[in-house]
Amino acid sequence: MPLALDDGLVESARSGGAGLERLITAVWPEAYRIAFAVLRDSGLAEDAAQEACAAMARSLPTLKNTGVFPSWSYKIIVNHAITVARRQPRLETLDALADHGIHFDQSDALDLHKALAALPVAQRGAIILHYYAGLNSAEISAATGLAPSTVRFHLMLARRTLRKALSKMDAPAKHSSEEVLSDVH
Amino acid sequence: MFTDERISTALEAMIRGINPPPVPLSEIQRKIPRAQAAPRNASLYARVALGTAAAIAITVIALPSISPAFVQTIGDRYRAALQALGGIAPPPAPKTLVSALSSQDATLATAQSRVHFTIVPPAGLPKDAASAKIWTTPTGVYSKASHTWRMGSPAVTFFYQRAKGRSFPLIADRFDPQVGMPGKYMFEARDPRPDGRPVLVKHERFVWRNGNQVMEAIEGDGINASEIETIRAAMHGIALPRRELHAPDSGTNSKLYRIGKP
Repeated sequence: MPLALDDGLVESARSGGAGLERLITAVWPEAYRIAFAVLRDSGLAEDAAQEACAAMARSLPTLKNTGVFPSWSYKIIVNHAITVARRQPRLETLDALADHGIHFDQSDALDLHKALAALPVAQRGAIILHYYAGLNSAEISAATGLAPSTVRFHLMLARRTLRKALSKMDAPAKHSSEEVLSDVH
Repeated sequence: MFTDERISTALEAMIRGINPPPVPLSEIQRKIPRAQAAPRNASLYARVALGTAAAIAITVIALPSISPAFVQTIGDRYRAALQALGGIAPPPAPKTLVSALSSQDATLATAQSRVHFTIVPPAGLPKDAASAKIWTTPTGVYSKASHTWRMGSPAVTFFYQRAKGRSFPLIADRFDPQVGMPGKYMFEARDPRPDGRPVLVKHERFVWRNGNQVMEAIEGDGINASEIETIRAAMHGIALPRRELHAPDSGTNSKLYRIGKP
């Protein structure tokens, strides 16, 4: 899980003040990136990230174990991003990404960006929580309120879409049978 | 080949390639209280929650196997719920006070020797109520005027096991006219929803008086309202008026927060 914070930082934020400011400052870049990955719109991502950081600040005293802060915060960020998307589903196209100064050096990343663009927002959120934040379907279910079976179904559909999209970019004919087999597994 | 590992790697590269703007700290701080005020009738519930802050504490006292850490956690969660409702929660009790709040097992006779009121034991219990356990717990009292905590007098908990793994407590305390009118409802803070908003479960609270003893019971999974009324009637207790949701707080300076650990 990419977000790595010192336990002391989270603990000191519980009492608010400067500790909370330090935590928000540390979490903000990740909150924005995740929100943008889901929303694909810089303005909406900033709104969602701000709301998520505010929600974290408010709920921090309820967090029983500071060791789970990273996964806890990812759930909040993705949920706020999905909420913002549902409130205002004005999602930007890939062509507009360059306007925000966003560039990807690795071709896989760029391909994935294209592939993710084809997914519904909820599936995008599930993919990020699973492959980036490392949550399993039960944890995603608890975070999103969806049934575990629905989460697994979303993940399966999303994975299939991503695999197809990226396999075509690699070598369309060569990998088609592998996709089917890996879905069965 | 397109593997799960490749998805993870590509996703991380993609997310790392997104450049965040500078942190809008003041904007986030401005949104924190706004998010707290979101629930409907927030101030209304906050008043009730503040007036009945013993709700969670009663649960704490009632469960014999709860650890001190859990007591502290409950306190944190309850404060968070109050704050989320727009209320002003008391600050955490000092560690010295919490560490001094140790419950002691008791018989009816030993419990009587530790408290400053005449204990009237429960009667009219449900037929499947058995194995009563009794213990006494000092309480923490928070003064709204001086913003300080102090040790209060002990309360007596009668804890009953029932069929199907159910249980319920009845808590006897000294009647104190300085403590404001009890709220009719209590709100139990559960784990927050994914969006961070607290989950509050509403319970009706019953309070009755026998002499200088006041007894409290909370309806819930362990005992229902009708069974509590049966107990009160069997004890010939006088039901105390309870503050409705819309009623203002009594304005007393002291609030009783049972933070005792078993």
